[in-house]
Amino acid sequence: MLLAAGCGRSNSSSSSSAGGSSDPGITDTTLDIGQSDPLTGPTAAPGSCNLAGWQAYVGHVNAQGGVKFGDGKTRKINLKGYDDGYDPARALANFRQMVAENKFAEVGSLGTPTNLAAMPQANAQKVPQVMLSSGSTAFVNQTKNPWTTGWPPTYLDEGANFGKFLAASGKPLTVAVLAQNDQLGLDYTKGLEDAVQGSQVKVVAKATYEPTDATVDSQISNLAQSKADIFYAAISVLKLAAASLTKAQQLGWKPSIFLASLSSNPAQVIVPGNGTAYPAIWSTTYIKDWRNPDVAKQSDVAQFLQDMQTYASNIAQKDIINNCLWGYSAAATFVRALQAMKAPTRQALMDAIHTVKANDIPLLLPGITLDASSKTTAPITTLKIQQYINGAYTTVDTMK
Amino acid sequence: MQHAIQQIVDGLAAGSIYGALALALVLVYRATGMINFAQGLLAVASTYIAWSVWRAGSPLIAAVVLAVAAALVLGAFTERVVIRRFEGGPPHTAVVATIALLILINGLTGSIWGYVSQPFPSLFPSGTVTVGGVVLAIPSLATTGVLIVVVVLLQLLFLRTRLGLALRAVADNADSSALSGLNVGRLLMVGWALAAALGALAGVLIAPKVYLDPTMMDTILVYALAAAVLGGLDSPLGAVVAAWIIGVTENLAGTYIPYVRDDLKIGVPLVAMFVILLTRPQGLFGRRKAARV
Amino acid sequence: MNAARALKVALPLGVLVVLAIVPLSATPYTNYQLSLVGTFAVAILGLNIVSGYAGQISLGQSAFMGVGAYAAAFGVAHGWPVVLSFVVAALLPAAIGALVAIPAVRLRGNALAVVTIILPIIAVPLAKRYAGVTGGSEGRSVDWAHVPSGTGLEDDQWRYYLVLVIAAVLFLLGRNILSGRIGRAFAIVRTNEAVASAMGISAHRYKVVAFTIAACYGGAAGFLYVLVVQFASPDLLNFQVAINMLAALVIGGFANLWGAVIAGLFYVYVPVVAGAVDPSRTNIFYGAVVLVVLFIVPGGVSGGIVRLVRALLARLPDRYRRFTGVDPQAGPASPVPPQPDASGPEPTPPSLRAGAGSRKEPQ
Repeated sequence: MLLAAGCGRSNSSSSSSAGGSSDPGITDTTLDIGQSDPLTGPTAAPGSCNLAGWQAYVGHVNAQGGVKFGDGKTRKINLKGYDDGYDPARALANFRQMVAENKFAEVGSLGTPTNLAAMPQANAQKVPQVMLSSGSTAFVNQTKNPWTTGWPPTYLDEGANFGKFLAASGKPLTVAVLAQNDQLGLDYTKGLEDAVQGSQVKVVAKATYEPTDATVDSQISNLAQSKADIFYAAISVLKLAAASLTKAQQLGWKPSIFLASLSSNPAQVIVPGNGTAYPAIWSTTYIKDWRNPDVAKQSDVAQFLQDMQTYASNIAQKDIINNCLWGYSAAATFVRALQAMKAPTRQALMDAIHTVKANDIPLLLPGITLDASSKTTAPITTLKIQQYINGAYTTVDTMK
Repeated sequence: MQHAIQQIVDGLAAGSIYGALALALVLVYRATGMINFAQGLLAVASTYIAWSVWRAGSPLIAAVVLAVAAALVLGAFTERVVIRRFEGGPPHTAVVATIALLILINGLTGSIWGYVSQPFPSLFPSGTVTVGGVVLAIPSLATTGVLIVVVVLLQLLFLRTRLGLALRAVADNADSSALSGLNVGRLLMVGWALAAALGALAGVLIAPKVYLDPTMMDTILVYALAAAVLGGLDSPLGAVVAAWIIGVTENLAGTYIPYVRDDLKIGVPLVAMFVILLTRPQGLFGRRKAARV
Repeated sequence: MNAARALKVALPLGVLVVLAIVPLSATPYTNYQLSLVGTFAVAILGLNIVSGYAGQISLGQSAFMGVGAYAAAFGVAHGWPVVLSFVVAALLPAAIGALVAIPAVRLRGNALAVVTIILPIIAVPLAKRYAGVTGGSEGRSVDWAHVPSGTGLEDDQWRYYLVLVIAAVLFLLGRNILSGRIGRAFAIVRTNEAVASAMGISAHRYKVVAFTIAACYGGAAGFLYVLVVQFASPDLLNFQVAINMLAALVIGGFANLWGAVIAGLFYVYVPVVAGAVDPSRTNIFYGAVVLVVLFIVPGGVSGGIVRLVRALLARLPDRYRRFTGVDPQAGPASPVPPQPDASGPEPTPPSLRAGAGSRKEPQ
């Protein structure tokens, strides 16, 4: 009787996909993939936008008849979204559910502790967990976790990028840092500090905040005491970034501002925070600024806006934040990999991802290369500094 | 020294935010004997209503008045339809019902208005006043002023009006009140309606500073609960004073106690609250109640 | 032995047998979910002991569970013997619980509830700060509890069985505690503390005991969590989890220990069902479900089931009733459960609002 009971579990557990004729979730005409995001709770805004971006691009390629894979077959993509509420146990449950529902891969999920919880299982079961929306360095080590990849530049890279920008100016600058109290904040800070080492740029004040904080007034007030030249806002919560800008100027402290890419959105941060009171506002970016009317006319950006409206209308255009664009662009990267995928297996997907090397992924800035062949870095490692001038961002090379 | 005063002033401003919601909690408690975990979310929903009306082109003050009126209806409706069922029963059930409301309304506001934070206009001019090098934001000053007025009004309500007396009677002993001819059901609805209206007011005062989104009141609720309990759950003045103490203590601890820094500063007023309650269980301004055997 | 007693033995045994067979044919996903149900059932059982049986509302159970989880993860990462990890995971939170409870239980009702909130609130930043122990904000991943070779089982089945055995033992232990002197003392303390002191029962001592036991169960549940999820992070400690556990407990019902199992099922499965309905509206579904359940069975589902079964048995003709040994008028025979104070499911505000008696607690 026990044997009979045991027969019920045929291939649901740790199935090896090496050399299989085809893996679950893929047929000659369809590909089933899943994504786990915080769709409710405090991080619901980035989570929903991320999923919307993916849905927009997937809807677009499906409408064109599907994607022509590297093995010659054209398939449509079925993307299913799952809510994890930023809870690691739920994210792991979602991953297991995806496996039970025969999804081919987990793609583009947003979050760090959530993806960390699922990562060991994904690698144990050899299920691709790719294009993750997180700048944590935990996801870029493919020697350790061959089935997991990130997509955006790491927070370390962002910080280093800005640090180099400051150091290159040759000026003696002081920096005050407000960082999120977790690895994101730590990485942003470390990237900056490492890059300015040995230069005339010094970090003179540091403070932290929790994403759930109602106000950061006390921290800004403390940082303002330093009268630093630069305010480095390693902040991922848009409203707190805006509140920082409001408070600092109230106190009479008007440094130049650096906004992390997560919170560089003008409509939710710079405008409500009266950013024009500051001498300069910079951010790092690798994505086009769709809010710039000239840029919005470019074909990939116009297509993005149209696709968002058609396939992800739950996000109003004025509420589009960077995560939507990153999701769209990550989806495009994934489709590039599909186009190079030579066999309908998970291993073939991972091999194909490693071949993706392109500078024409939709929405990526000119000059940003995506290279997913590295086993030790994120697919995107280059960033540009952009400055907010006259209501829009423009990329700049040196500090003025 | 000036910096310390700035931290104190900012702490008072934060305390006014916590106190605004705490007052609504105290009102519900005073009128119905229950702690309403969903108070913050009711406030958020009302504020969203004000926001929608304002975005449709209405002047802000009209939008606020409309939202407060909507809150009166929402509060009464919630009590009658949802909470009434649980009022005679064990307090745990009623509390969990309010928790369920919290989750439900959070989902509804997110679904209707989205999760992206929205700037919300202030009823008051947005400048600052600088006194001796210390910067005070006018909206914060105004909020504090409104708070004090509301405390006075609430005290008048409860101590000097028949309605207030009736509300207190119902909360204290519903059976006797019913026997005395009070319409208990209607009075409970009035209590919730007033509390919701107060919450709506708190929402429109708070939102300009912390931005409007479905999670706007989540952390503030914890502070407001602490303030309400510390102040003595049935004292409006106590709630506001406690809220100020919490705001100031938090800022000073985070700035001047090296071990605490920013991440643990929230713990300091909470632990202080605990200690104060141990020596004075009825809270700063609460009344001692006798236990009936 | 009459039918009722036979049933009382046969039913749990039958359930146990079913529970033992299920994982052999269920998917790893189902086994994972069921293991989580067992894990949270243990945590919520602890909460039931302090908040249900002893009547002290605690909003801090997630903190104890988190401490236990971190202890387990730390022990695993440092190669401790498994039993040691378990013992530390259970006893460390118990010690913290006792230390906090000794002053805290001098407060009553609402004040105590708000004070218990302090635990998850400061536990999260503390966990992030002491990253060497806890792995910081990104948490700590562990890789352990793999099935011993030769059993023919897979990892998920093995972990399921571990959870099942440990949870069953803890439930039995709880049942024994609650049906003895401690349980009776809890019941008296819950109902009226003044009476308790008059009877020579130290309300203070028993409340501390209740908190300690609750924390101990919470810690044990934390150990199980790390067993199942293989990951510990500050997200387990937070206030939201504590609130959800309390909501699940009330849904499951205080009436008896099985309420905690139903609570575990609720805690794990409602988000899943909500996600199947509409992933971007999971909290609307969750909140609505809680309200609907509370409306139908305000005393909790387990109490509702007991009442239903009793009502069904009461409809039997007399001769069968004697045979089953069930007297519908008699009270429960097992550990003294807290009965809802309302006398029926349709409370009307005036007549049933308990005044200063059982509802209002002295502040």
